[in-house]
Amino acid sequence: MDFETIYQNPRSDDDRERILRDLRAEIGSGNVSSDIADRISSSHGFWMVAERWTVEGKVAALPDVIAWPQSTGDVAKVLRYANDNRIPIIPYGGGSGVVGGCVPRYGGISLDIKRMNKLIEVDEVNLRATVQAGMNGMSFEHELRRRGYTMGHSPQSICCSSVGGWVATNATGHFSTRYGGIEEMLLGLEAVLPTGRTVRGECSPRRSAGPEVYSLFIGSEGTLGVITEVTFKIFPEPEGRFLTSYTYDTIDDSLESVRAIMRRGLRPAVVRIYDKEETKRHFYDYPEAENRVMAVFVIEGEEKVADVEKDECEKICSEYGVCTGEGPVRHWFETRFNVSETSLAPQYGAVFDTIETSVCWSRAPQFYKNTIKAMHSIDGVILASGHASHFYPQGVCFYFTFGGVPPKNQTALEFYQKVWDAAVSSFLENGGHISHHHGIGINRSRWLSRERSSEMIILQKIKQTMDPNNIMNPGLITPLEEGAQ
Amino acid sequence: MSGKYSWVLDALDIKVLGELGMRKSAWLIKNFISQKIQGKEESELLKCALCPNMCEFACPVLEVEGRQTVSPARKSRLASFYLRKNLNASEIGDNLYHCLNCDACKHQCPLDLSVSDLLIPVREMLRDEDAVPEGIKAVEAKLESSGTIYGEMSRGKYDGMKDGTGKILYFRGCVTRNKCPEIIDAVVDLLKSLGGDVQILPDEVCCGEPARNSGLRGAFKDAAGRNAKMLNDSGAEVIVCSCPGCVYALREAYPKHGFKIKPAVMHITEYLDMSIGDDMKLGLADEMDAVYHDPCILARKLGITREPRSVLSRLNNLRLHEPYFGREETYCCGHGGTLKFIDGGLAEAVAKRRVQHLSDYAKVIITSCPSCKSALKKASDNLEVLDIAEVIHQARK
Ligand SMILES: Cc1cc2nc3c(=O)[nH]c(=O)nc-3n(C[C@H](O)[C@H](O)[C@H](O)COP(=O)(O)OP(=O)(O)OC[C@H]3O[C@@H](n4cnc5c(N)ncnc54)[C@H](O)[C@@H]3O)c2cc1C
Ligand code: SF4
Repeated sequence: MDFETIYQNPRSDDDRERILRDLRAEIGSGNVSSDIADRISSSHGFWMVAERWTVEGKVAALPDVIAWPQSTGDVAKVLRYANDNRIPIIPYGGGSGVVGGCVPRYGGISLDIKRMNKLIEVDEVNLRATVQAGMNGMSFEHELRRRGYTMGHSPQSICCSSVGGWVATNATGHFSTRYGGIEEMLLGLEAVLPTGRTVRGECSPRRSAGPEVYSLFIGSEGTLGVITEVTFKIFPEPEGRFLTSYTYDTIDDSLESVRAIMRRGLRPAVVRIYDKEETKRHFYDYPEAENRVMAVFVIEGEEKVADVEKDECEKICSEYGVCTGEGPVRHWFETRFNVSETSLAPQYGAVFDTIETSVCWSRAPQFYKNTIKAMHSIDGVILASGHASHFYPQGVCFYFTFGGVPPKNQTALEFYQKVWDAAVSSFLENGGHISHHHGIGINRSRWLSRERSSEMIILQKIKQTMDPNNIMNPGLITPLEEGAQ
Repeated sequence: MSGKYSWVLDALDIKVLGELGMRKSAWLIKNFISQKIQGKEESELLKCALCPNMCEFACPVLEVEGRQTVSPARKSRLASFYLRKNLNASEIGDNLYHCLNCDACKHQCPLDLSVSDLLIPVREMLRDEDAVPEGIKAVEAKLESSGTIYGEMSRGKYDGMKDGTGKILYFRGCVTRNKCPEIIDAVVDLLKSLGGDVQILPDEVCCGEPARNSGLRGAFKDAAGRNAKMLNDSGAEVIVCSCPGCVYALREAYPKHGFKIKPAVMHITEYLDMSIGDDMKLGLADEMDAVYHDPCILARKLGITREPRSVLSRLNNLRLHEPYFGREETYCCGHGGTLKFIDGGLAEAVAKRRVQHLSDYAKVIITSCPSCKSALKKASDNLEVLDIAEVIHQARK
């Protein structure tokens, strides 16, 4: 092995051997490995800066061993062992997280949940489905589609993320404006705490019986325990689907039109507004979109209702923009999983990433402009653009993209962090949140206390109570010094 | 400039280029625009290695093994680390052979990449280093000693058969010969009854596809050379194969390696679709409910999904069901590619998964590939698995 490792693993080969031996005795030798090929394959999820390290022949960090539990009981055994021995646990789902949440900065056990991938129940009467946390998102959606249902959760990463990872990152999907984010879809879960204790909670259809413990795991990013089973709402597959698109003179007009739609209580499933830069990038085949802001809409549900909803959305949009028909939406459907640029940018030496956030309507247009300006102000940035992709009666999620080349004497990481600093400072200064759906990971941890301010102490207390030895993904919510090494 | 990459030029307008300085801008243009627009990008393998695994859900190996290491992008990442000497052959282990050559990845891939194809040159390098897994070594040894992947086979009743001109050559393939001789009976009878002068080579050897796939370049070329000579000298006008892998080898892989096959090469489903006239009476004696399993190579690499359905649609008494994962969206039977040579248990787990999908629809599975037939049969206790030729043969009786 000939690699530079960015975060050095503190354990010796002997320590590693011991962990391997002990875990094999706990959950079976076929379910644990310290092979370098396995360790490298779990060295990071999909953090863009780590992708660039890959091109440079570097590795973000190496776990000591990989464990593949086959059951909740196996998870409990691994966690109990790790807790007794103060060894970090890094839960690993699909590895599609983009903020460095799966990077084993302090080594330890990468606990890959993928072997727990069974569909437990599709409850058609009560419109809910229970599934083991390691099931791939698209496999789960296919299981539902086969039966005539959908979850309505369709992140761009649906093919490469796990259902447990969705909950752990508080994810949201392309169709969220109708179906909601994962927090609205989740009805309950099972999780294992570091002590090995299993907790289960479910509240369908609803209950009022004290704070919900299961909801603590939403957005917990592996810091509180391991999610082993989840129960989600499901929906009968929509009967009707309508597509429409509009172009606008300005981003302000486009935002105003969607704000009006949301105020009226209309709920298109997909709304995506692309600024002029991104319109050019995605809709180059549509001359009517030239130098315009493009918005695509998907409206679905009961055929007749969706038809009316579409008419009403169109009436509103026509006050602000020009209808460009179904074509651009079809183009979006055809290309929505095309992420080929992520495979290309690091090879050209460019540093590139996306940063999502959310803000209330009253600040949205200025927020967008200030953030683009802030990113462009960083030396080396060549491209800064944005789209808005999840909408609420209260506000909007912006999704920014930047690309550039580190100036002389700056490493890729330094440049990357400068652009992120500029963007996230703009979010906070302009009344937005540090993240809308990607989560904290390593990358955003430096802003967490500003975001959560007075709540931070409570978050830390919860962490201490549930994970007193700080073995669960250490460093993401509380600093490592307080726990495992 | 207009079109897909016009935004790049706009982003790099004079102002930005000025700010970046001439050195950097020249570098950027060299590294991005020229390569991208002229399509001379870095290695495809690295592109795949940098992908978030967008085809991951479709990979049956990953689904049954549950090990990130064998996910499509991670295999490519390991391979590219090997090429750059970050990892050596023993550190790579047998991970690059955990692949079914099913092209499920390619079917989903935004870059149209097949991980199996990407890995073949790397497997060839591993072979050159004598670092291939034992199971692959065994295949190579058998190919060398006997010309088939199963080792020496006793002479069969059809070896060297030739009716009349022998204008239709039936190329049976190793799996059909070794595991499914009943398919040979059906095909020979069918070809004869459809009016052909049928011949079978006296010394048929493996088509070489398993060798090509496993990175055994020498063994593949050897097989291709032997077959090309025998097939071109046979006087046949058409070569009909039961195995989609053989069709792929003869039709696609041989010419790419300089071995041209003169007769037309057809899969049995194409031949039947072409030869069974609309007026021909076809009917099963008893009513049958069956589900059709698309072989990966047939559906994805050869694009043959219409023909088997068209043939089966002409049968009275057959109710054919479409599985949820059908046509190009099919799911491997477990016996594709290199996996079965190195981990039979995993290959069988994939087969069981496929049987689970199919058993929701009917008690009979019809397919068009001897490997699929034998894999699915082995993995199912209570289902009947038939090759399409057997079904048509029954229907013509
Ligand atoms: C191309 C691409 C597109 C994307 N599009 C979207 C999008 O549209 N919407 C969106 O929300 N996100 C998106 N993401 C981000 C990512 O897919 C999500 O964050 C996803 O929810 C992560 O799931 P995963 O299973 O891959 O988790 P991982 O990456 O494996 O893990 C993410 C975090 O969750 C923890 N974790 C994972 N599983 C468990 C578990 N069972 N128990 C406890 N902790 C766990 C990990 O420790 C880590 O901290 C995208 C990513 C990519 C690469
Ligand atoms: S084959 Fe294509 S989709 Fe699959 S991992 Fe490679 S680049 Fe990504």
